[in-house]
Amino acid sequence: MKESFFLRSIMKDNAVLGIVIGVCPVLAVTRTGQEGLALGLVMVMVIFLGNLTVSIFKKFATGGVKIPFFIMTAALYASIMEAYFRIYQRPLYHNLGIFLPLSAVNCLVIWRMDESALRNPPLRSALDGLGFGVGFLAATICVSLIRELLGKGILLGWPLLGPGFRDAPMLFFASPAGGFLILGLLVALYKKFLKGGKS
Amino acid sequence: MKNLGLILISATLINNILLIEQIGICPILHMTAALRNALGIGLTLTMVMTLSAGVNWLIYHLVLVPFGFLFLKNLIFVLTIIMVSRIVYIAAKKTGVIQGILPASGEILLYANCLLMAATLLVIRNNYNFIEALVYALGCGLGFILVALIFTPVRERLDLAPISLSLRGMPIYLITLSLMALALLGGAGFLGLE
Repeated sequence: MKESFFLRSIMKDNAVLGIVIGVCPVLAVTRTGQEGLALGLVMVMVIFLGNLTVSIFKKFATGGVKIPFFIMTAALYASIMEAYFRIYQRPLYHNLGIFLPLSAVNCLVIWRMDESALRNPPLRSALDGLGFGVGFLAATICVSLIRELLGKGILLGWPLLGPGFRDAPMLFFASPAGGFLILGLLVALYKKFLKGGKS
Repeated sequence: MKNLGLILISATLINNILLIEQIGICPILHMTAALRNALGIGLTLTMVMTLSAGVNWLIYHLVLVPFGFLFLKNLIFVLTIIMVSRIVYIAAKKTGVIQGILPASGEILLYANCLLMAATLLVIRNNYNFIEALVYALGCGLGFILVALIFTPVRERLDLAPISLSLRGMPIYLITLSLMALALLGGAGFLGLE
């Protein structure tokens, strides 16, 4: 039972590809596969720990302090992740830039806390957060690998395409417009094959 | 003075927060069903963004940097933004200026917080002084309004157009945004701006 809803949040109800929520980092910092992977892992940690914390302390989250409580919890974990990257992963910290602290106010994080963590016991909501986090990670990896391959001709640092391509790559896919296009096409493919064409 | 004008143009067009920096896609995809609604959200966001960027600039440069509390910056920024947006929402409701075109305050906080926080963080990243920070945040808001006003009618037409079933809805909206971003990319280098 638990496994099935965990898998469903990755495959059937993928938040990024299904309802297109919390997509700002997926579009902006997926120029190389490494960035996409790092950002996806940060989001997994923030959603997982945030859901667990909110679910444990859910009796404080009532009325007007509900959303401030969610956002403060997420900001706490995002600060921890930012500090980790600043100390141990200096180049990635500069590449990810403002998107590390911005993972605190991502709509996906707040939405999962509102939908799942307030209604379920801690273990189940933590698993739910993990599922949606891994779904997000899958989406960032797909987008970033495609963009790196077409925009630079390399895959995770490996020169996959020949030097003729790498000297004149398709710069469109490394630009912001390319991110929108790739995500749009991926959402269409997802709709076609995993949801059977339903909207 | 000339510098301030350049910052405003840069924030509105050349480094448009939505299409070039790619922040705040959620509000434009999920909250702009009608033109009236989009305008209300845009105006509110601009107001909250400018005020919160100003307040956060003051807190950052007068409290956090001198006393070495930089590790607290995300928590403090988020808290300020929540307070400012609540105050603006209550003021807008009491005076009735933009009554009826504003969604519930909780929804704005849920979907648009990323945009509000980003204005503050970009101001800090670019090392602006106080006046420049306010102008930059205003430019970000104007950029959002511009894109929302162009995107909403396009979206209304797209909903009626005969498109293949799997492309209908979000995919075609994202592809539309891609074309708009491509158009704005052509503006890079305008007036010598990066």
